[in-house]
Amino acid sequence: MAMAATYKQLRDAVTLAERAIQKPPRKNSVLDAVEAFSFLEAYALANWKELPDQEKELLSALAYLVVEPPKVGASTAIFARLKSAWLLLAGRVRLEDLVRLYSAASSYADSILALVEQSSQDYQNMVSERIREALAADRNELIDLEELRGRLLAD
Amino acid sequence: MGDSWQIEHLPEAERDLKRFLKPFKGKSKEKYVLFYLSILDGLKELGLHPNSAQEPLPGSVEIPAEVGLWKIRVNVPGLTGAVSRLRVLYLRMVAEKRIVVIAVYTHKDFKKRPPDRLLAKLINGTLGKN
Repeated sequence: MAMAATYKQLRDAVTLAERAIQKPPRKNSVLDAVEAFSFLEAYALANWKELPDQEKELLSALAYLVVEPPKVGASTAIFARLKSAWLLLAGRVRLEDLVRLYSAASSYADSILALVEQSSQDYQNMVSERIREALAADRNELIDLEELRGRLLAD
Repeated sequence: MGDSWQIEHLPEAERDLKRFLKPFKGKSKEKYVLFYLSILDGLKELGLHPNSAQEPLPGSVEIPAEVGLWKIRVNVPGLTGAVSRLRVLYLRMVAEKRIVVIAVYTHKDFKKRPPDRLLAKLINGTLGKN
């Protein structure tokens, strides 16, 4: 897929990726979802600053679904696990493909969360302030690793 | 190890770290302290971590050419949600082989979760509908 995309194309890719992480996926949909996550991650990294808010929200929503999935009832969770186990046992989905899906989803979420952080004025202010302090500090104002280790383990 | 990188922390970064550790007690706290220290141990050889990448500088600040701003991204085992996404920001001073950790934070500190209605539409498959 090219780096330009319409909102509908993005929405379809997000929906495809979302389905794969919310429902027990099948073999083909896992690989499609891996591709969708990779495309969306590359698209966001290449275009974030220019993206309209609507697209940023959509991409962020998917990232937060990966990081903070909605809570479901105990019976729904058990049913989903049993179904996933059955799909694996029946060879409808391969374990290595599920690992690829997890890895793609996690990488996507981490990249989007980093973009969300970098867009925050509080984050920008904190980083600027800390850089100035670090460059201006005398060595004796900084805490060396052994001192830190001792203090953290003693607390 | 005379050739290894020296690792130092800004006092604010130590405070960040203590804030992250505050909810944990006893063995659990020790586990997370050791986890954090193991991240830093990974920096000693090259001043780089397998999960580190250069971080864009905020527009308002300039740093010397031999200094870089780097960020380590790790997911903390045993935690879930935004608080499990731990980040370590550091200045990498190549000429002096020094690392100065300037901030330790989790994504929870800068979280901007979209409205629940958008997440619900995404989950229900009604994204394209009004």
